[in-house]
Amino acid sequence: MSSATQGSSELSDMYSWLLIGNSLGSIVLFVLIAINAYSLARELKKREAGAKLTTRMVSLFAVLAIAPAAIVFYFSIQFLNQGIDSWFNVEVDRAMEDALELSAESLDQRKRLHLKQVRKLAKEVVGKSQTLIALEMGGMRERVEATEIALFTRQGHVIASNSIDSNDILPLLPGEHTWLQVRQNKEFVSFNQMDDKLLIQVIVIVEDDEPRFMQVLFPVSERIADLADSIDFAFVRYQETTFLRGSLKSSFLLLLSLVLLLSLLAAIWVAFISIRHIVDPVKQLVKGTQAVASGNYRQQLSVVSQDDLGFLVESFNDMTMRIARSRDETKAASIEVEHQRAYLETVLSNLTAGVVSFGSTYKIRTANQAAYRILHIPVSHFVGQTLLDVIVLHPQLTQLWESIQELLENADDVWQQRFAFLGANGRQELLCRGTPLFSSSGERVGTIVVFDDVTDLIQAQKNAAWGEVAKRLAHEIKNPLTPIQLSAERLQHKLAAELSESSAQILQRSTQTIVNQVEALKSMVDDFSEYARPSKKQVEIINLNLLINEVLALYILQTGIRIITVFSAENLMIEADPVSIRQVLHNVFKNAQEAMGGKGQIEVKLSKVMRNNTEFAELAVYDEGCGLSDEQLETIFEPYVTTKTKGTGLGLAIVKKIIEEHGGAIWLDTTYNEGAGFIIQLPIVLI
Amino acid sequence: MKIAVFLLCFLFYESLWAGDFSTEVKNVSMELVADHYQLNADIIYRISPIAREALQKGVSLTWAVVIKTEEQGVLWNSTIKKLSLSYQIQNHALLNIYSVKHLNNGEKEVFSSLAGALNSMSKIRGLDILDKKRIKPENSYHVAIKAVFKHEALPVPLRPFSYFDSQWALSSSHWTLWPLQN
Repeated sequence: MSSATQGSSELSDMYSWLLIGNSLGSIVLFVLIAINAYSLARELKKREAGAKLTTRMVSLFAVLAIAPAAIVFYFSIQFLNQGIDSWFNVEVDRAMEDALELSAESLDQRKRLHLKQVRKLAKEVVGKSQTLIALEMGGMRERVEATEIALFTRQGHVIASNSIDSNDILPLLPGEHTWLQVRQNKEFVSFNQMDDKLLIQVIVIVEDDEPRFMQVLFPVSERIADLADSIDFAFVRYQETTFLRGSLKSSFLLLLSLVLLLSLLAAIWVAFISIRHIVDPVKQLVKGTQAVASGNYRQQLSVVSQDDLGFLVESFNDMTMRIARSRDETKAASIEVEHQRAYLETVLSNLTAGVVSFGSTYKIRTANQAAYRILHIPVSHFVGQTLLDVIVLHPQLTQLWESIQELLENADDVWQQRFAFLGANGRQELLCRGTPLFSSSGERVGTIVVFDDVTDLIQAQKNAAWGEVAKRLAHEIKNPLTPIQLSAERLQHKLAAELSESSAQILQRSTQTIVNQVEALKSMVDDFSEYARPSKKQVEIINLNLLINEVLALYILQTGIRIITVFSAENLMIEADPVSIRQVLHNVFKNAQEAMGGKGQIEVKLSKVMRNNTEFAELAVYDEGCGLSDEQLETIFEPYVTTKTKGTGLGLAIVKKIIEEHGGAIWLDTTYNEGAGFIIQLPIVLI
Repeated sequence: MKIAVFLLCFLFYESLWAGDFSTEVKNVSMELVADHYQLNADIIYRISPIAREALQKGVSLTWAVVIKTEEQGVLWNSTIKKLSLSYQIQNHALLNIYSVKHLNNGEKEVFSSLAGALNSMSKIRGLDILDKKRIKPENSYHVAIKAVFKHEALPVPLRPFSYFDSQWALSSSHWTLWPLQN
């Protein structure tokens, strides 16, 4: 294209097509770049991997390409403009014009000379006949050293002619415009060409009766013709170049701009292609990394090249393979651990003993189901908290928690202790065993406390002991009582008549005292026998609602006692010995009556409750008596414990024994403060 | 893309914006001489100030008079013969003459004035355009004439800009059609 611009090459014929080709190429490249840029913009918007890197690299590449190109472009344009301007200057212009004027003047002189000659010839032929003129023409031509001479009529018809070349019969015929000028100016002088020879054509009017025109052609010497041609050519070229000065600059500017544009666009497009080629493995790596980050460790990338990036991709594949293997191993181990943990949890949850583990800061870490069953507190809900935090919500166990907390903080070895506390179901006894936990490095990491409710066990032991005592009492005491009584009565009977009246009275009082005390001892022993005897004699299904109403009917009639009953709508059926249950009810109601001193209100509630997935009939009896002291609360159900002046203290002990023998429970309602409150639960029988 | 197409159309179809300097074809007539159709026509060349200045400064101007004989079809016409008469006019400052070169045969004429030179180019007389034997009586024919200014003959620096300058729109703005009588 550069050569074409200079016009010195065959390419100049293709200049426009080259421009169009370049323009089209630029447009195509621009479109390709626009498509790439649009695609990149979409990738950026979607935050696709590698988009930012591609943008940065393309931008950098574009800046690096544009900046030097723009500088070169600017200086090239400056250089070209100055270079083109330097071709022209005033002196050269003037010299060219002077040379042209000089040459023109020289040629004009010849033209004027020949015009004069022809004017003379024209005068010579005035008044002469055509024949004479035709005869003289040859001489005229030779005299003025012309190539050709011809005479024309006014209409332009040839009258006569003579040529240096005898073969030329027909003279040069002037053109239409030439005749026009001749008719206007009456003479015409101009250069003409014939057979590639330069001629001076002179036409003048022959003023005669009938105006005619004489045309004479003068040769121009070959040397002058060559010089004229050379000067004309040079001047024309110079003039043309001067005229094209602006266009030449614009043309170069256009050319440079196009080349620059094409180069830049090509560079940017190649940059897009190359950078995408470079970034592609990086993009793959980013995608792979994202896949790994999201947990897909099986991600493998295709290795396209064996260069550094290819090595990186191979390393990535190796890494993901190793991670996948490790993950699988870890997963398998985790599953195994989970199975172990689940198994342990199952074992713990199915243990009858409560198990609570504590961390190094004495915060609860785990608690099994049995802990809830024993303590009636959802200990597992307090994971992450200390026992002192549990106290805030469950103050009834304050003493127990404080004691265990103290042991947790101070005990350095395995400890075992029995705790008694008043739980939701009355007095409970726990056997606790604490074991400190140590890490492999010997650091203490917590404590595990295992506890069991030994209330029933202790109670059973006590009951057995008391039963044994009662049995021995019955056996060892009751047997000698009858001979004692009989001996006393015999003494009275045998000796009363033999003694004086006063002695007989003494004997009478003494034997009577012995008999009375023996009777008292017998009664006491009977009570013990009753306590020691099993209460479940004849078991049958009874309607508890009905039974309670029957027993209460005996107390309702008594003045001063007001009984309020709140019974469940449905009849609660239990499987029990009705005589024993009736005895229980009598003991409880009688206790309440006696506690109030025969005046007051007894509230009796019967309802159905769920306890450990079993339905129970719950009988609550509240009186308005003097209540029980703290010491009595713990021992009220033990034999020989009574608040009354009379009685053996076996009433509530027998009640408790009967209830427990029927699978039920009895405890004091410690939340009731206006007197004493007893709660009895007995299992319901589903019919 | 649309812009590029438009530019191409704009570039090559200067009749879109041809102005006052377009060449005009006038006085077309057809004669049947010895079973040959002969064309007579006058081509009126108009030279814009810029083109005149370029000519005075030595730039030669070239036109081609394109003559097509077309057979009229249902959908499109088919060219059965095409002629092109090319002329190049040039100024010689030293001799103060204008030369007209017939590029078809290389003949050269000189004229003392521009008008004379253009006048010599304008006359088409008795131009043999077609043998009557090639004409089918059942078909219709016409002769289309157009004078095309050759931008590509201009000096290279001037070429690209001449396509976009109305002063250089020296071609005929349209084809002049003349029916060919059977």
